[in-house]
Amino acid sequence: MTFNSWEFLLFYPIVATLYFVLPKKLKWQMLLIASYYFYMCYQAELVFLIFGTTLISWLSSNMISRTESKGVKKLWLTLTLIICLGVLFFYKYFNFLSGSVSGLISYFGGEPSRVVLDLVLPVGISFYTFQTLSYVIDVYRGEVEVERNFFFYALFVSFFPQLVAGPIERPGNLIPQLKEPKRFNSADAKKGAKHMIVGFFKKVCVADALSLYVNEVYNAPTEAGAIAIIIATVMFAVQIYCDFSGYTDIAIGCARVMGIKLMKNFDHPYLATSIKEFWSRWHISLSGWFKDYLYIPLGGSRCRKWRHLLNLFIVFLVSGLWHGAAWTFVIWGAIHGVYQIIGNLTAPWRDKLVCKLGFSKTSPVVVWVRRAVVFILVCFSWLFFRANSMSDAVVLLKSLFVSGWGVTLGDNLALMGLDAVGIVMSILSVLTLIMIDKLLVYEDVEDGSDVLVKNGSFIYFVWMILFVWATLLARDVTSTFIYFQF
Amino acid sequence: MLLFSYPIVLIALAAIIAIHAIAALVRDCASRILTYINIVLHLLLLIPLILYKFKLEEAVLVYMISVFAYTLISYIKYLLFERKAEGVSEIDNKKTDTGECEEVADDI
Repeated sequence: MTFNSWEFLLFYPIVATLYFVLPKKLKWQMLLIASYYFYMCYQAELVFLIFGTTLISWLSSNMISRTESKGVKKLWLTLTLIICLGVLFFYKYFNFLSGSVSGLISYFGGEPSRVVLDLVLPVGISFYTFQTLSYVIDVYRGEVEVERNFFFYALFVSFFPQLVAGPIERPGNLIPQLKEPKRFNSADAKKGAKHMIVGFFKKVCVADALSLYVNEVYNAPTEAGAIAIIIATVMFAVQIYCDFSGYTDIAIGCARVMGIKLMKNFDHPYLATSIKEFWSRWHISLSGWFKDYLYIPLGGSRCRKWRHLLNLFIVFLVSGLWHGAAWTFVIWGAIHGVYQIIGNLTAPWRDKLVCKLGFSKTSPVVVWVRRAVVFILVCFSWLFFRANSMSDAVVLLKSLFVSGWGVTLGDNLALMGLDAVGIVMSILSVLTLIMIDKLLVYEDVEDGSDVLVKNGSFIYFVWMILFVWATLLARDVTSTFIYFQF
Repeated sequence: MLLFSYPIVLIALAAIIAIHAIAALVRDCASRILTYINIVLHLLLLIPLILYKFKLEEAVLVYMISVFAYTLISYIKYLLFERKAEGVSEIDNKKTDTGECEEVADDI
């Protein structure tokens, strides 16, 4: 049951109505049952994994809080890390590691004996594992009070709007809100509904529509010319943003209707003027997690320069691996790590150059040039992220930099299936998206008045979403959310 | 684009966009009435779309133009009136925008 399925359109109103109708004591219990039902609609057979992870992290956090001995606390924390990360590793990375090792053996002339297990990747495992780990670590550090009620803690881990693709919530933000159920509030409901509509617009009208053209190129890399690769990669940059931020908007909207405020996960990432800033605007909950639980424990920036740069690289390498068990994701993470290192080393020179050219750092010319450079660098890394395999990525790069410039623009567009209607649609949808994003930020400020939707005019958007949805269904191309696979 | 060679489709689309614009300028009650009229027009537009059996993509484009026009008008209205009236909010926006980024950027 994805957010963009008919089942969810039935499921969510029932849950939201029950939430407001039921007495206070029963609200969270109903949410827990609904969340587990939501998860079991994906993979009923793997529900024991999320339950097991929840149980282990709850038990260990309780043991940590009960003991005064630092050694025992550390032991419980280590045990939890080994078990939770072990489960994640086994289901997500075992086959990848086995394949890589046997590839390495055969490269050196040995006899490879690859062990391949028939494993299904549990939906959202990376998200809920990180959420449970952040809870146990926070309890260990004494930053969060331990939750004695197991079932209540289980709701924190499995709360359905953010269960399968985040935002990765912190216990300090979500648990107090779940404990204080709200009464129906029309302002919250309106804001929530607006977020959901915008999320659906991003997913259905932009991401799914663009995916048609992107898939044509990335599924047939040998036929693609350089121009087709450039257009498809730029389109993928928009697609993945709309897909993931669309999911987040729907999640935030679902929770907001029930009076629960989830954390912001995106903040106009393509307006970033540096890669460093890009990562503080893209998938904010994951960047924050890595900062608090990996980067800072590694020493952060308060150490020698080379160690600081190494810390940055490690964080982005792990981030790449978190996104998927494939070399394309590892390379994607490594590229961002290298960007960070180069950015860090060249920052003073770049500032001097801007001064020498007679511009201030905040002048619009400098800001937009920097934004353009960051966008190009990010798009280059998306090529690896989207490629179906490393060999596909190599073919695409070869075509992009060497052999693909002989193909005419017309042939490139024909390969993508991009006709005049498609071009106009794509441009209009992206322009609409940019304006909606701006207006939403304005309206989210507490005293911001309704500009985007008033007097029932949101029906235009609902109409548009339904129409595109029906069209995509007719062509059998509606897709799941990209980040579900992580 | 065959769809746009039919005057009835063009007239309906022009009417929809004009109503979007007028609804953004008039007061609440009149704006609401115009919105309902526009919703009916959107529904009526389905008739020629079905009758002439256009490709679905072309039909989607008609509605996309309507949504784009609506958002653009809302955006222009925001730039012209709301932004000036809510100058304080705009400053707050900027604060949260850069403040958050710089705080995190210091670390990673």
